Amino acid sequence: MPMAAAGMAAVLLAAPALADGYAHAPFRDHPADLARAAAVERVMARLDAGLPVAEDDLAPFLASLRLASPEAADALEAAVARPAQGDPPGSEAALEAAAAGVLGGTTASDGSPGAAASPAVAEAQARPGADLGAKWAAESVRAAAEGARDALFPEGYGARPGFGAALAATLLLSEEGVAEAYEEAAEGEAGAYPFAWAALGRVRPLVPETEETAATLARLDALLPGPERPGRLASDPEEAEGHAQMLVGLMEPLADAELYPGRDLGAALTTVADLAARGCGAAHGPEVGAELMLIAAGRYEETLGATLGVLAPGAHEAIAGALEAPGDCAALAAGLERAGEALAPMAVR
Amino acid sequence: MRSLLSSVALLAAPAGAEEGYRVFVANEYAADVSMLDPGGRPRGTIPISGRPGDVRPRGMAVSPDGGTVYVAVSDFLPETETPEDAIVAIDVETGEVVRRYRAGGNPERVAVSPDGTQIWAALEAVAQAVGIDAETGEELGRFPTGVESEGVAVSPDGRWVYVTAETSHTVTVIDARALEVVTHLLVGNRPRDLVFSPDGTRAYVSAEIGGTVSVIDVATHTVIDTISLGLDSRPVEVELGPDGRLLYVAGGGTSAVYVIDTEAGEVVEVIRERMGRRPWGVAVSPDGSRVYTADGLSDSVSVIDTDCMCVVERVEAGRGAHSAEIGVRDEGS
Repeated sequence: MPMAAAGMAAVLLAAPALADGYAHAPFRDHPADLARAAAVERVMARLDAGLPVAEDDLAPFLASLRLASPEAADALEAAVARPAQGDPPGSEAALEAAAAGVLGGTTASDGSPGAAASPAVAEAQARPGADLGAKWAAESVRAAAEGARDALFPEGYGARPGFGAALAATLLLSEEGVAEAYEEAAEGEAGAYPFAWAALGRVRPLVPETEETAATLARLDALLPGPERPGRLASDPEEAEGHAQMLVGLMEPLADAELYPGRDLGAALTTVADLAARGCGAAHGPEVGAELMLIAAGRYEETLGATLGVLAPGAHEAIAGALEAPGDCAALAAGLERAGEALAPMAVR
Repeated sequence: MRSLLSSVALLAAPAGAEEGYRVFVANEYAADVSMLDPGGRPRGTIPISGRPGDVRPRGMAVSPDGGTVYVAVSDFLPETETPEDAIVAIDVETGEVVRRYRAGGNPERVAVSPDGTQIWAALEAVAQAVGIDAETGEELGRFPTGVESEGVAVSPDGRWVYVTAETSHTVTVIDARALEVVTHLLVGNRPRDLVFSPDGTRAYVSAEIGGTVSVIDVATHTVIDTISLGLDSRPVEVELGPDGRLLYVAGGGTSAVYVIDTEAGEVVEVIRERMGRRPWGVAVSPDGSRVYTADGLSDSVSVIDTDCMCVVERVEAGRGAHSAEIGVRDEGS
């Protein structure tokens, strides 16, 4: 392990343990896999919403996918690149892709997507004006993304305790989640509303079902009633966040899992340092190293950026800069150490 | 529901309930303020805006003489021709709006200095706090806080203004005499509300996601203790009894009120039975015998008798009951 990575591991040792409370800590135990799963689900949500998928959307998981299944990685990259090239259904490239099994068993006899399209997709694609070629391309990406998910998570999301609930929490509350997308939609950003609606559809099967969770989901449904943006959204852009926060709070005891990755800032710093140390160490090659740094940067911004921006702006700038343009692992290690001093743990009775 | 709850309140109002104060409840979604007597009987509804949903009354504070209640009013569509971001002053005696102070930036909560000359508000949208001269309405200054400022309180000696920020998990300390930021300090996760002890030595800060109350030593502006209420408690508003011994914490996550003995630094009661859903606001009567909660999901006020530490009434409030405050009436009225 390079020296800087070793320094970040020292931050790990010095950081406080996660606060007692729930039996499982998926954000602590599986931070990289959670980020990868969330990215896969966001790709699915974009497809559900009829939005394009870009190469950048694959960045949090493509390198590790290539380790797990080079074929699945190639298929996904090719499928994502294809809509940009505008290959129509029935073209040579389309037929090649179908023959290569990218569409798996979902391909109908005419080469168009088969019965695997989700109800949400079917609804979105039934809209007047939806282009057949675009539909076909979207289903190519969907099939490849499903292949990616199966390669990365062969046992599904439910194999690890609390993982599914943590994934739901991520899809609800992260910077690229339901609440933030709703806020962006309320502020007029194009594409944000259908993504928020589709992401909520991805959350639903991950939420343990109780009367209270159902009621809270219903409040989110009222804000996001369908794929088409309502005439008027709530005037408070954070309306969805309030309900999403409540839903995550309800899920914690049901899943017996810590679902707020930033609740314990010491633990959050440990996680970022761990991810960054692995990224700098690049044990599985530079691509996976870069992927881990990207995940570390996301986790840092979501859990620590605002706090350190106020309490230790110098450390914040050093860390954010080093994570944004990976390479200077020594500066990153130094910044993380200063951050640790600013986040001295408090005693909890 | 209104008739049922009101009837219950009328029947069960404590005999000889004093008329010396009014309970004010800011109804976030109805854009009005409910006014109740000590027994929970409705005594009027004060309209705040004709744009419910867009304009939302939230946090409240009372003047030192108890005669004026200030309401932080947020306009979520401030690009309209006449934005309504403001601090609204209500006369307790008449229940009428007597003044509106302009305060752009989405004011979420408000506080008043002990001499009544300064009004302070947390401006959520711009990560600032603003000080306002209560007489002239002029701004004393704007001060950077943490991200998404929310709770605000002024120390009993008028020297310090503390402002919570829910996204950065911080409290910003402002020197109200020098009019400058002194420091920022880390508290529990997603801090909401805070209150100073009557002697000014301590401040108590609720943390919604942390499920804690941070205890700050005011002399040094440092956290000296953190009291856990449970991760699912989701505490929001806090209020002290008149002698400062008991701290009442509205637990929105568990529909409970947590009672903390501030000397022992521990929870001594958890009131759950008959509580309304998602208590968000909390206020204590001047004599400490009653505690009132604003219950956001059941649009109600729960009335707690502090002798039994039990809910004795639940009365209707407006839509989205958010905060509660006590206004004191003139003795002679």
